[in-house]
Amino acid sequence: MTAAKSTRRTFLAQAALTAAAPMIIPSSVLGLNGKVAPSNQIVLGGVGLGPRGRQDLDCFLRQPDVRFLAIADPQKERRDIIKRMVDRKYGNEDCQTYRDMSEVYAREDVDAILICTGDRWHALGSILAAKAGKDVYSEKPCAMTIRECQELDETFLRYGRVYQAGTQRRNVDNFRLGIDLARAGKLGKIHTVHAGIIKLGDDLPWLPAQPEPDPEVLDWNRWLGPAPWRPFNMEYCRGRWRGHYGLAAGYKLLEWGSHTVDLCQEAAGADGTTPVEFENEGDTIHARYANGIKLVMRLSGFKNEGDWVPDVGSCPVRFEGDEGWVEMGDNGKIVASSPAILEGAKYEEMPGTDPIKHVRDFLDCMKSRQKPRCNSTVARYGHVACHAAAIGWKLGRKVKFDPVTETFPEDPEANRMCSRARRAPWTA
Amino acid sequence: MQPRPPRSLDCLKKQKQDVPNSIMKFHRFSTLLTLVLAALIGRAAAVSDEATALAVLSSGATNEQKAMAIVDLSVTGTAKSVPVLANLLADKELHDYARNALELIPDPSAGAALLASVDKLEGSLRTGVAITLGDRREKAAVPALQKMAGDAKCPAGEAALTSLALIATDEAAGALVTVLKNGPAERKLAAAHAALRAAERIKKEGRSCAALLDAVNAAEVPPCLKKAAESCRKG
Repeated sequence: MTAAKSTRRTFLAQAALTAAAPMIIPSSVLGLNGKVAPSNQIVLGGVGLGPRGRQDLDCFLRQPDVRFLAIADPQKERRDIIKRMVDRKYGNEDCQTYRDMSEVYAREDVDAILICTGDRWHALGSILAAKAGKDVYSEKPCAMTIRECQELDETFLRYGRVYQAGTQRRNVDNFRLGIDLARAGKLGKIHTVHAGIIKLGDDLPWLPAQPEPDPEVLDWNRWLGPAPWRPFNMEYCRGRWRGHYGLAAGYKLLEWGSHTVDLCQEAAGADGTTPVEFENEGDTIHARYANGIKLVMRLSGFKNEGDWVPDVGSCPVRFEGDEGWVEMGDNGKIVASSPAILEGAKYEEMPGTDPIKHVRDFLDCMKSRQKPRCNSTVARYGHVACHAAAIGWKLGRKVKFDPVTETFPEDPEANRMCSRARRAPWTA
Repeated sequence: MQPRPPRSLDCLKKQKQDVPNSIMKFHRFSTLLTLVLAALIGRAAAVSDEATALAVLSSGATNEQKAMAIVDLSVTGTAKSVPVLANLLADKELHDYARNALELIPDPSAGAALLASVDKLEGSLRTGVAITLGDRREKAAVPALQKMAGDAKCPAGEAALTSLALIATDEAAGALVTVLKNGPAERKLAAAHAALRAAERIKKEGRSCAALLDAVNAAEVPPCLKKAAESCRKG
């Protein structure tokens, strides 16, 4: 290990930044000219940064203590886009491009990895990064199956790496306020939490086969990675992988459920557990925690679908107690059953899709070695809850779930849907 | 002969346009019909039963239809499906689906079929079967996995180490210790990761994992792995 890296690593291990003030960089980090010394910078690499990845990257690039140096992507076009974006920001050509993420993971100078691939690569990419000694910020959902959620969390706990799932809304002010009000008892005793989801749908048919391109242009084998084989079609690589078996998780439930169920879990005091039963009713999934709190996953959408406050925005949630309720969505606002609930509350109206504070939370935790808001264990249980609900939906019947063993008691059919073999050679 | 230039994405766009319009129209229609039906039904297409899925596999169905039938067999398949699925392990396009189904069919014949195939396959197909033997916790596979793990030239060697960790019997743990102590240098890192994973599993079952952790500490591996070993010992 070089001396420079040792200094940075020591700093990362010893500095303690306040996660509650995410945008403030302590003066000890800044040099006399107000800039962060290179030895105090976090070196970041990226994997699979498409349109959403560029939004995440933009937030990282705005942090004075981050230096982005490497991008891996099986698509040359996307590698080049990221390199241009980063080189323009820094005014140099230091950003290296790779087809294979393992080359980024092998770099000793890289501290953390930003993973924004499609669902299929989130868990394995994160696990391999942790085994290589990196911290990870990965887009949601954290994993494709219940077993993968477990494997991810176990790996990050084993190696003591920091993980943040890109659900970001726990660090968005209106949602944060709603959760804090629920947890502080301002709504009374919580009895029901509502999570907005989009309409669920079964796996789509394969897209028509096209000749595979030159791997240097687009490495289809690597793009597909751990997902089961299917013939190449360029449209998958342009974002049309959603809804396809092995490429997208959970029959579309985790598209918004990753976010909204995550929020409901915290509001209900259910981090570290899951509901114990799930039952479908049309587009709604009714779930119940062991303590009796109900989780209702119900229809929402970009066009005001479902019974939510008008124009609440995407990813709406509602927390109901015996003394009141609050409802929030990506429009940045919070609505309450009575003005008294929000009296004195201050929050910044920001879109629910903005990860800026979530990114800062991750970076602060890299330095303090504390766990960020959506760490591997929080993400595990929230997404296991989503997967269990999706399994019940697919089977078309009520299912019971044991949050301790993370299995469906006496239900071999459902249990056989908890895992899926990864395509070799991409294994953990 | 001049080497072919790499295909640009513009070439791909042109190729898409060159696909016969009739085929594109049919596929769009069938996709649309499927989506409309799914929307009208408002729920998932049910998982087909074993007999229906096996009928698809023995018909002239497309690989896509066979793949989806095998997906259903991963839920409904029994010993009856094992021979058909085992035959598909050598099929590059259907291997992943067949392997997944064999991983999930509880009947012992599924594990036996996988074990019988592991030395007959090559490359990534062999690697896949090696990892699935671990996912099934196939104790009978430990000798074969140990042999792969100890062979520096075997591409499935690292997968075999992971599988030994998942199986985590005393025999499997012993195999990991052997690779850590006496195995090829290029396998030590993967063996250490596998040993840590096995140690966690063994400790949860109330058995001693000291030998595994001692072997990790004695091996030439990065400090973070030794730190993980100490955490496991204390935890």
